[in-house]
Amino acid sequence: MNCKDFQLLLADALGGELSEADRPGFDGHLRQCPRCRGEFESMSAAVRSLQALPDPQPVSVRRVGGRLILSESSHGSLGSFSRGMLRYAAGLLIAFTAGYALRAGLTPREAGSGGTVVQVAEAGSGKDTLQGAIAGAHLRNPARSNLAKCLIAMYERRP
Amino acid sequence: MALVEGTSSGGFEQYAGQVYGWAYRFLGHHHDALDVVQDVFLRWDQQYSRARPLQPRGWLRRVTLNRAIDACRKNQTNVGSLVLRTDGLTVEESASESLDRAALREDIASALDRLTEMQRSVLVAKVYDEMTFAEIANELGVAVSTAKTHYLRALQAVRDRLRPKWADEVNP
Repeated sequence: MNCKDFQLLLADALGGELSEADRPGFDGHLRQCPRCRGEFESMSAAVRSLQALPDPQPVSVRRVGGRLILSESSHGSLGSFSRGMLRYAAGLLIAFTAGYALRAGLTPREAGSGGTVVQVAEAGSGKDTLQGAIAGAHLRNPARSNLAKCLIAMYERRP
Repeated sequence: MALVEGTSSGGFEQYAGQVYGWAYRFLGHHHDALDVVQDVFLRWDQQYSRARPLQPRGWLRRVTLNRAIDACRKNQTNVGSLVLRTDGLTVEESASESLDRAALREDIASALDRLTEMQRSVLVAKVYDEMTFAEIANELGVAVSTAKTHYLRALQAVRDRLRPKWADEVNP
């Protein structure tokens, strides 16, 4: 195998798709060619760096009316968390849960069922409604999204 | 209510967890990721009212990554972006996350910012969604060899961005 052949197989090797038939030739060239070895090792390090970013916590999604609710299903290990920090975190959790529930106009029963309500994502595309106008403004300027979200919540809570 | 089940937002909930995951991976904060989910949901709703994307997951991945990278760019200009945050459910994760990891995340996001949408999508589909090149090519409507080329270009960009840091680690 020469360097050109090696390069053709590099993506497969880095992507974990190198065939058994190609592996001996690829590994053999890797041992013989310092330049290709350096290329492979540095690219492998890049893959490892990407994989070092932690996996997101799994979330479950359910629909309540026109809303999507994302709930975290587990909280993982607490590790060396102190009791004081645990109480602090619990307080923050309750405060944020209540805040989101109130902002979205959910009742406490809805907020407490089936996991913690952590976000209510909502879309309104009707251009003839205030909500649609707010959603459009939000898309044009996401930096102002918090204001837009609050306005949407206020609009929905109107009798 | 603008949303009607099974029409304008049909199917989004099927992908919402993945949208959250893609966003979280590069933002590292729960509420930032949820903001992206909400943005993407709005865009999905707009897109869906015109035509459902032929490859919904590919469309969502591309839009989500664009939004997440935008958010990363804004965070990097924010003085407090490396300060450990204690917002709600992220307390435990943030408290234990090292500044090194936050810096790594910013470097990777910065590298992704320099990629084309296609390169970015291929990289994320391969590394995090663990798809084969054939699956990625099918989803993105390109040849398998093109998907592999995008993957290599993306990896090179990440490597070139991180290589100075690796040198620092070897020669502190």
